[in-house]
Amino acid sequence: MAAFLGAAAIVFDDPAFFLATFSLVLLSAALAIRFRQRMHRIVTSARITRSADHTVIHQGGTTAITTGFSCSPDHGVIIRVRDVLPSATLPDPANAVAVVAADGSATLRYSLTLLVPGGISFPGISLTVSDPFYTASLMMVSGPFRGPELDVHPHSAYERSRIREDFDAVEKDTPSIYHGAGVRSIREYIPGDDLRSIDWKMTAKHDRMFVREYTAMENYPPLIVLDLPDRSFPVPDEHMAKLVNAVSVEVVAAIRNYGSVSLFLISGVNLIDIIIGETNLQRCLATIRTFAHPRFRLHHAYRWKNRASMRGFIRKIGDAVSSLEKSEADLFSATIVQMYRKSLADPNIPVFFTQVRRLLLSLTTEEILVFSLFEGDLSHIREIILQAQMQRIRLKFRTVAGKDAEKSVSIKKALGMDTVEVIP
Amino acid sequence: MKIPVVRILFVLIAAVAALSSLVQGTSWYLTLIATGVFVLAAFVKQGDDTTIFILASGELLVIAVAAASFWTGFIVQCAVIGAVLTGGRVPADTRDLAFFSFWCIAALTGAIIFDRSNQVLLPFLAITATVAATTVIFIGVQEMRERRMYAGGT
Repeated sequence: MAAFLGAAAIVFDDPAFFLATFSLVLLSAALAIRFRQRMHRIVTSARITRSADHTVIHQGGTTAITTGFSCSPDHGVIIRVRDVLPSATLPDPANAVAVVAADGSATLRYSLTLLVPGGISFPGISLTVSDPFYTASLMMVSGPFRGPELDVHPHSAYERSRIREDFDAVEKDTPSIYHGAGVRSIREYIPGDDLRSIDWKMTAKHDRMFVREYTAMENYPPLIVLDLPDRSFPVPDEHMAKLVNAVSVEVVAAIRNYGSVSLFLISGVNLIDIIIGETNLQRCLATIRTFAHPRFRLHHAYRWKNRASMRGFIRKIGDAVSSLEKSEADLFSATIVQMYRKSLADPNIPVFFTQVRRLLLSLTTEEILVFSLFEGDLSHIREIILQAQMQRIRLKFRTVAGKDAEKSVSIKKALGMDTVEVIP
Repeated sequence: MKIPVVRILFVLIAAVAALSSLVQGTSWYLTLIATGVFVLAAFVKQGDDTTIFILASGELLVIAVAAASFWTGFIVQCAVIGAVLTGGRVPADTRDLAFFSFWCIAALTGAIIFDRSNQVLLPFLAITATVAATTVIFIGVQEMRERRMYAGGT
């Protein structure tokens, strides 16, 4: 407006236009100075408190960040605050911004997934101040606006070679307080035996300490596997809610029927949490509430080869290829066999395979319930199926309605499932 | 719609000053129309922020009045800027009051220079350039200091 009036003033050479133009220029300048002063007051009075619910987490893990901001704002000024994020992190929601209230306070809450290991510190905050005439931003990265430092531990997709030495070993050192009423045998007391199991009648009769060995009590609570979808793909909230609800119902039923339940929360081949033999329903439900939402998948298994199927292929084709004449198809098979042999010679075994194997060996269960949306890569489900078959454990699959019939059939065929129950 | 009392006062001052200049001007009907538009812009609701409408119609009024009487035009200009800036916060917000007073003094200085000069263009260009340069330097220095203090000197 000032420029237009200025042009008009020069053309008409009229003091009235000059007065109006000069007034507007003066107003713009004065407003700019006022805005800068307001900005200065806000910046000098700005204070933040930032906290993370976990400061030590593993690579690919998620932590909840809460940033409190306070300042002395002027009337008519809008202040927006956002955290400047460390590199290689994924915030959820992607653009978390807090608008400062009239009293000068704002709270910013978001979750952060950390993708690289090492010490990671928050660089600071970004402040955007605007009034009806001007807007300005300032990145505040000085000492008081930094921190806290997060310690991210590396999480490899493959096992280190030395771990393979005790690959199949399962250490179990959990004393059981449950025993049956029946007496299996009576033996002489050994220091360390439970005094409650001393058979006083036998002890009095023989003048030596004897203890009763009771029959063991055992039940087989199911293992519930919740496969959380990848955050990169859009998942309807309704589907997620149904899945979580179905898992919660199953957990309640398992604790009621068996007294305990085991939960295995994964997202693809990324382990989220394991709860083994949990008897506390509230703790189970709290864990589900905390973790059960679409997750960022640090590792993917698209390129992982299945060692069992590779061995099977070599057994089936390998010998035949060597004896046949070298036709084009045979050359192809021979190349595949050669590649498979190289892969099998590779000492790197995916961590997820080990985790599933160890879990199933350490658990005494007869049934695994797998809850998944069956979206994207299903290598992890295939691995669970393979390990369960090796341990002779029954598998049940559950998913939510919404998949078209053709896709369901192809998933069933790919995974070799008999049935997939659909959660209504 | 609640209109701040301070804004009503400023609009009334502008309207009365404009009407008082009617007898001095040749095109009185333009002044009358501009006054009507300004009053409507100030009191009719056009969304959340009416500042730009008040300012635009106010400047038309200033031009119309100043063509008849330069000093009445200056008074109208002060009232228009007062109506734009205050928004009901003066005198509650002393910072805005001081800011408005500062603006009035600066505008008065400019108006005196224009009134006393033989020709207006050169003083206008000189004053405008001075104001713009001073503002840029002031803001630039302050912003640089803030960035050095909080943004690691970038």
